[in-house]
Amino acid sequence: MFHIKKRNTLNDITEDNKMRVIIDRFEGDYAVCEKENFEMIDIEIEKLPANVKEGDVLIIDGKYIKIDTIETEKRRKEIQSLMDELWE
Amino acid sequence: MNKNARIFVIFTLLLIFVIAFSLITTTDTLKFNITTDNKTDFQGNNLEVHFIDVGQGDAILITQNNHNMLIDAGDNKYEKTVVNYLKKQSIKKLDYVIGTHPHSDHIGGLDAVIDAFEIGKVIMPKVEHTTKTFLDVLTSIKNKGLKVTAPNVGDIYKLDGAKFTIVAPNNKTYKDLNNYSVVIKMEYDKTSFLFTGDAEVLSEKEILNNKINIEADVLKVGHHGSDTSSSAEFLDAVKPKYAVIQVGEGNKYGHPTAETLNKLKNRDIKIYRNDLDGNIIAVSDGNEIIFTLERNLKKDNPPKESEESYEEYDIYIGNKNSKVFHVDTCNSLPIENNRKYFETFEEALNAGYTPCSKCITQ
Repeated sequence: MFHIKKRNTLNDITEDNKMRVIIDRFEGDYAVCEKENFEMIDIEIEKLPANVKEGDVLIIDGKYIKIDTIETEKRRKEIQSLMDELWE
Repeated sequence: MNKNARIFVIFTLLLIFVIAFSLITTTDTLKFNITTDNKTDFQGNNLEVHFIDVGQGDAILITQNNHNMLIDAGDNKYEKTVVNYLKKQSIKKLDYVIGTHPHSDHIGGLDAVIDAFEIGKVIMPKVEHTTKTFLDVLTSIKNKGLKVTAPNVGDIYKLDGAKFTIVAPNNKTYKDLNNYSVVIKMEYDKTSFLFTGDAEVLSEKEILNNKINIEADVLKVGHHGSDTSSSAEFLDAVKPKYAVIQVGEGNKYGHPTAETLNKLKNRDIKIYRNDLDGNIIAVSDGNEIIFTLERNLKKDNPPKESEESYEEYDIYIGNKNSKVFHVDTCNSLPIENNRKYFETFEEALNAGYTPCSKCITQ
């Protein structure tokens, strides 16, 4: 059960929150992330692991955030094969 | 003069006459053809560029003589805004759809657009992203049996009487997705537009090294007016008269930055912004570009007063494509086929038309 307020920043994520997001892009001090319901959430870059990149899948567990490298790689492969099919 | 000599003189005169006559006729036909050509290509069938207000994101509809294209479609939550805007313009088919790069504030609404309209060519850089948003766009493309064309710098595509040239990306790999942005220059007779997506200074430098002429009357300012784009060298090469910034009100990324705004102001470039102006429509007749702003149409001017001042006109002429209406003295009237006539100002408004910013709301 998530308790996330309308204004989506990391400060709103309380201890009992667990979720998975994907970094869509970086804008200024924020990583703009896509939640599983397509909502976008801004997370301050300083709260993220130092080596994060666009496209990384993050697991947020309370105030702990880590990169889900397995899920990231799985998605990349999936998308790449679909792209090879679609691009002329 | 004997009989033979007389015949010879008559024959020569006749010959001279025939040659002279045919010369005059040829010249006349030639002149006539040139004029006709110009008329078919440029008169009446304006190029319209709609910078659709999708908050913090890009969405640009371009129409020319019933040929249409879309550059980006805003974030996911604006997909209805974009689809409805296109439907209101009576769009059935998009000849081209460009997804500049896979960030959600550019391609978020593309899946809905691809689902809702007949689609010609889809142009997108071949770079992957892991988001569900991007996957959704690819899924819509696949479900419709479409293919994707990668942008190739220097390639030229026609949009009826207008054409666009691919200007970027100039490299296969970049660190940031922004620099993969498809940049195009659109030309319509003597007028031109440069659409930059989120291309940053690095891509701008590569564009400048390319020696493609990027001068343009209108610049869609890169990356929502962020200072990661719009280098002085780039602005000096584009030399725009107008700049359009697609940016959302109160965004927390600081777009557009004071630095970018100052660079534009210092060069006497007129700035239009979606956060302040709402939808921005630029109409080119091939010679000059006229801007219509939603803000001007919504202005808090008391409607009664405005109605009174409009009542002196007997007829209002609407453009079926742009849904903008004019008075008959306006110099940006649509061609007869695209006209819809209204007897009153109110009738035009009720039909969903908006008054021209040049001849009606000033």
